[in-house]
Amino acid sequence: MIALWIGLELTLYGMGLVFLLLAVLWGLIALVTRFEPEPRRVAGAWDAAVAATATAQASVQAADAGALDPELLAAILIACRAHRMSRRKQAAPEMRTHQPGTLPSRWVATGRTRQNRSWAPGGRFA
Amino acid sequence: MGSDALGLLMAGLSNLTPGAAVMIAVGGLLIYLAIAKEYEPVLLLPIGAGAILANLPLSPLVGPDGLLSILYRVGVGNEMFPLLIFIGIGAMTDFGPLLENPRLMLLGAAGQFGIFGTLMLALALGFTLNQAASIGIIGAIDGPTSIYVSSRLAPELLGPITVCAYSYMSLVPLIQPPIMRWLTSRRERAIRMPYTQREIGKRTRVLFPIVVTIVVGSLVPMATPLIGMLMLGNLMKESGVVERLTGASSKEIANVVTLFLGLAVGSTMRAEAFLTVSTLKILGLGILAFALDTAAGLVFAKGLNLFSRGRFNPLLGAAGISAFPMAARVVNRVGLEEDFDNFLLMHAMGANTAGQVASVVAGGVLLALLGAS
Repeated sequence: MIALWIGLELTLYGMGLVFLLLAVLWGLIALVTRFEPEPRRVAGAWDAAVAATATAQASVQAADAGALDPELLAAILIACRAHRMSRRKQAAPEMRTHQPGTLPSRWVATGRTRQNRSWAPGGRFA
Repeated sequence: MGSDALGLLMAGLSNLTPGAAVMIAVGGLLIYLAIAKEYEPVLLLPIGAGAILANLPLSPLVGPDGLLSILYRVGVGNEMFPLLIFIGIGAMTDFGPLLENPRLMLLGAAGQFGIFGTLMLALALGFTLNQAASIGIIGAIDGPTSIYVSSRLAPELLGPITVCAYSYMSLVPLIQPPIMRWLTSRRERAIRMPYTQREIGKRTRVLFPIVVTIVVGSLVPMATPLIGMLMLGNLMKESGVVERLTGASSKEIANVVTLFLGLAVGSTMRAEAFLTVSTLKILGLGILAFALDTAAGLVFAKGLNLFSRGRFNPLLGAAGISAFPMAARVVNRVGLEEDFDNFLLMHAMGANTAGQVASVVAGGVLLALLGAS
């Protein structure tokens, strides 16, 4: 009984210390990454809309002026762009832009590794 | 030919004990698992070979000046081999996913509950405190940490603990999924977590190992050897200026040391020390340690999901262990079973690397709490 009590005490202190230490590390890492240079800004929604409208107008003029309303085409372009951004956020497979032989991102690298190697011993669950 | 000469020739067979024969069979089983099932072959094969060589009758390899005895003294008895392996692990690990999302660090902490839960169970089964702590460290799911801690606290249990830690580690894809399905609902497993790759600059990547070493080493000095070597390897990798050292640490040194470590650990599996009821208990407790780690991580992640109003996939809790990258791949796989388009891999990688750091910290904390010197 005394041994169990000691074990319980060790568990409380041990888990408490592990959580405390890792929480401190979390805070420090967050602090360090906070001073990282800002990533390149993506154009805002308004800029995207203006760019899409310009592209649509140019393509309509280049093709058939009567085929599609430039505003409708711009809306379609924006919708496509939003869908693409959403799929990119989900890291969907079709967003992989790196071709075989190029230096891939971590995501692409892990995806390729997963395709090439079975995750379970003997390939039973591959 | 005299009867003396015949006796000398037959000395091997006449000294073969049933226990030694069983241990040779155990060594053969480990080699089978390594070759046929590919269960951690890099370590199980040398361990199996070491067990066979150590149990052959009158084996000079385990005599006072035998190769296996020397390897044990210079590398395991003074904890050098596990620490050298840690340099290699650090040089091979990319902590990027963790740096992108540092809150995942807490999942690594929750994933260490198996250590302390198993410690209590071992105490209940009658092991001494030091032995119980050594058995508990199997729950770190980290081979070198298990060897380091148990060689300091209970060297007599080193053989079964190491075999247990490494052989069960390869069974993570079989042990974890049923617990994951049992503790989470379909809806929880299908929660999507958008991932946006965030650029982590070189400055942060270089600062990370330095900060971790200083903080952990200052707060838990007993963890300094483990965390120091792990982070040294990572610092060499991220600095990019010592590619030869990084390459040597992660390839040549790691390979040579792994071979020596496997043989030395295998040599501790002598019949008289290994074939005991304690070994059976350790094998059972080892499985429980893995299960407790997974369950604690899942329960903690369910709590995080509650706080984030249903935006945190609880499966990630199961990745907060040190088995890298297997645990992350298992989490991703179970997530994909529910939703074919749900990619949890990078989040799980972050939790998995947190588990690596946490297991080392937990090992140091355990040594500190038990007053190991």
